[in-house]
Amino acid sequence: MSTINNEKTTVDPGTKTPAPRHAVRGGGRRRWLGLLLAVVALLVLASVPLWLSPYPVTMLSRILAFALLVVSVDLLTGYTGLPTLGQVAYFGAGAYAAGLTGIYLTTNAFVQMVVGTLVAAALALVTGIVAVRTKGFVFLMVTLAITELAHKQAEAMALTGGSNGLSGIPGISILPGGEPIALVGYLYWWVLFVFALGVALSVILVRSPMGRSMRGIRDGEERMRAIGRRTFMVKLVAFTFAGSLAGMAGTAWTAQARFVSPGDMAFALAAIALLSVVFGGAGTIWGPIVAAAIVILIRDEIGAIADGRGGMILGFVFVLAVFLLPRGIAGLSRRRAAAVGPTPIAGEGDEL
Amino acid sequence: MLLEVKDLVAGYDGSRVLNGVNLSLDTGESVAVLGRNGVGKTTLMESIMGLVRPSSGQVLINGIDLARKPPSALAKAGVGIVPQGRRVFASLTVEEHLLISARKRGEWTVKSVMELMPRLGERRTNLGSQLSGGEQQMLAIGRALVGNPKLLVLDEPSDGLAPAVVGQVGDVLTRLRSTGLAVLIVEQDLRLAFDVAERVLVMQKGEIVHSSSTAEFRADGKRAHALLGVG
Repeated sequence: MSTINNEKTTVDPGTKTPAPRHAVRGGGRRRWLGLLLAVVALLVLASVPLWLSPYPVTMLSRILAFALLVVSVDLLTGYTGLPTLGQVAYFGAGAYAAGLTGIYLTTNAFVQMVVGTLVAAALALVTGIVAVRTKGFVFLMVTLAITELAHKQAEAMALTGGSNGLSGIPGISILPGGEPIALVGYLYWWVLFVFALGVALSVILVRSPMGRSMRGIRDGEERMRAIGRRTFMVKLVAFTFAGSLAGMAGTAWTAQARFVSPGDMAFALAAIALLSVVFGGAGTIWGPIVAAAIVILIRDEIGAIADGRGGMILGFVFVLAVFLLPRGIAGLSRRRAAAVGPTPIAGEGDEL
Repeated sequence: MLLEVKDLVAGYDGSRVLNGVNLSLDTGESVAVLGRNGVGKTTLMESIMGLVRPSSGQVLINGIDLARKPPSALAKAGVGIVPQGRRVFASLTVEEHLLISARKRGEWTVKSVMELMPRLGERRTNLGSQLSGGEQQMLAIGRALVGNPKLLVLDEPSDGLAPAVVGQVGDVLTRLRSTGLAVLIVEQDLRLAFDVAERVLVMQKGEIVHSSSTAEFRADGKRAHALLGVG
């Protein structure tokens, strides 16, 4: 070692591909610009109740809760290479837990959020022990089975209101012992707070050493094992975190809807959440959030105008997106596209 | 003995490729495995790396048999792997590659690897997919080094590289050898193999049929020609 340091080898591997200035990840200027854009977006979102009528504000609340669910799908699908249909199970678990807490324990929004997130985390941890031992298509099927089991369980249980759903959930309150919030704008601000908290935690995760390991597993799990990493633990932590995030999104959903139905943890929702990740750009945070907004707008608003054909229009949009935006909406950012190239959804296989 | 391979038998889907390979490598020693195409060199390396499950035999690292253990057990036992085709992580930066692989405290750190291969320092923020073949090979070596291994196992490091770049890879490996790191290399490029290794093993039909010092092997052109078809 000392020999090497003293002799200071200069190895130039004769590259003919100079580093493009834009193709650099984690540049300081880019990071600050991203942070600035996020703050501006947050301020604009926060101001919405001041200049929009209650109906679009309620719709935006739904979009934010769904977008957080989509981010949780992206953490597994886009960042860890584990395409999943199981996040709605934890979303529903969080939603039901928050609703039941509201009915039987307290209307305090913070308590409901914590309880819903912890219930989803516990469920994700237990199911994750089995699920993360698989990969690729098998993982997709295992997570679909988790969703179906959770859905059927919610329909069968009296505690969750069976197939009628859980109704009679009181409005949330912010201060301990405070009055329930009645104004749409205040509810929206709570949902925005939960959304911002969830997204911030996700960004911190993907930029941490844990996030590096998740991307390493996506690129090649065997390679990660060959450098001595315990990939099972990394995948289990990622799965549990993503489940918690979906549960957190579920609590935000309950706070604005005050009703939870078994349909909130059904295959249809799981499918559009996964497609939103592909549409938005797997392996980015902002792309799937934008895609989630477009998906909800088409399904609920344009679909209502087009005689309930929202699902059909959504299908066309997804097909067009596959051909026109192979890297998703996030691929429209030239910098990102040049830096990353197509983001693999699943790992490259078992090769070292 | 740092590495001992005893009576190793392995193959794929019922076909036998290795017919009882025996080899050993001591601390600080560097050994090249040579042979024509299809004699079982890569199967031997994949068996040592834990990628192929041998049907019988042992792969002992410091006396502990790891023949049927996963690649992660090899890494923990102090074996750094540089696989054929580099296999860098496409979406991790050069620095992230080294950080993710740095496991044990030791001589090799992200900083010292970048001092050894300054090009990696210049490419610190570039993704694995943006590197040239030579840079990817340097990164694959650096990734193995930051695990502070006792033995570096390289499978065809010259594969797909221009001759000038192969020379630079050889420079790095030669300097690593001088640090006392044990090196086991499978290589088709004889110049690189001779630069790196002090001992040469030749394989034929799934067995080691020749073992000598590199100098001895190079001096006997007739034997080299008979064994490898060159010389």
